[in-house]
Amino acid sequence: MDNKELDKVLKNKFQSLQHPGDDVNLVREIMAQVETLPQIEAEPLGPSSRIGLNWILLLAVLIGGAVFALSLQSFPLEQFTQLLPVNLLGGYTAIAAALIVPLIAVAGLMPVAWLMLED
Amino acid sequence: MILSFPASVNSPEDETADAELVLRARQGTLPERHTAYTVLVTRYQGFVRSMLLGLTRQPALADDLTQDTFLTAWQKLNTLVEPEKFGGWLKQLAYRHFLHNYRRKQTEQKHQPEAEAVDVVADTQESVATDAQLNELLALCTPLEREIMVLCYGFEFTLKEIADSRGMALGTVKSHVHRAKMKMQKQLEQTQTGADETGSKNHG
Repeated sequence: MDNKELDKVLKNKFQSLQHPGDDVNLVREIMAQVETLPQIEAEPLGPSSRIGLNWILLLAVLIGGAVFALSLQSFPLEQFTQLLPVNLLGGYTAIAAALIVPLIAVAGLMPVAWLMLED
Repeated sequence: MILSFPASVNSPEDETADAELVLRARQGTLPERHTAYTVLVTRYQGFVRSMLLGLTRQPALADDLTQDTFLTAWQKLNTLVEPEKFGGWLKQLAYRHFLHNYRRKQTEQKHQPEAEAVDVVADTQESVATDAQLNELLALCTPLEREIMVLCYGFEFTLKEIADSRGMALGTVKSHVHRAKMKMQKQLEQTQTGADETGSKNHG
């Protein structure tokens, strides 16, 4: 008897496990217990919805960052950078990075946190 | 993966019906939820109980674990991301209940004096299959081999699913399957030879 033939024979034999011969109806007992349980909460947002929200948040942060960077053009950065040992471009970059990077990091970690909570 | 569920849930239309029922069991008024869930329980109770009976070989324990499985499923229904896969999810949940019960009994046995020790592994002589030869084949296996073979051949679990649920390496599960198959093959061949000899005597 080769492996394929053996697999076929075993699958046929094991099929009988699905019909144990004693038909037991547990529906009434199960539902009686279900009805005593507290009402399940309204359907929460699934992981996919959370991740969708997360992308929206990330986009909002990026747009906010861009608006902020544009608004810096009217900010008297020349005077500000004179106080620091950085040039004008360095000043822009430092301020933008200091504000945007943590927000992006938080937004990026949200799906991970969600998945951990799910487990 | 196509599960050997009752015929009424094998067609694509019925899979959609499963998804609809899950959604109805999550939303709406409480009586509506209960009605939808009753249909799901009616549809899957036989499958879940058969699987648990195959694993435990104890009808009363199989009934208890089936009830626990459906209660947990009701409580966790909101966490099911793909409602159309309710059957597969339920199957995994039932196996987890079996493993939880098995481990709990193992722990209890460690803390009990030998005389009072309970049977962690069900009586191997107890028949659960309607096929007498299958009962003989299952009796040849160790409890773990039997568990893996029942899940793999009877209820179409993948070896990876078993390995993940058991926290075992895939290679270890494969080894158990191989060993069980070798034992079963030997037995089947002996039976076949015996039947052939009887047949030739009758003809002679």
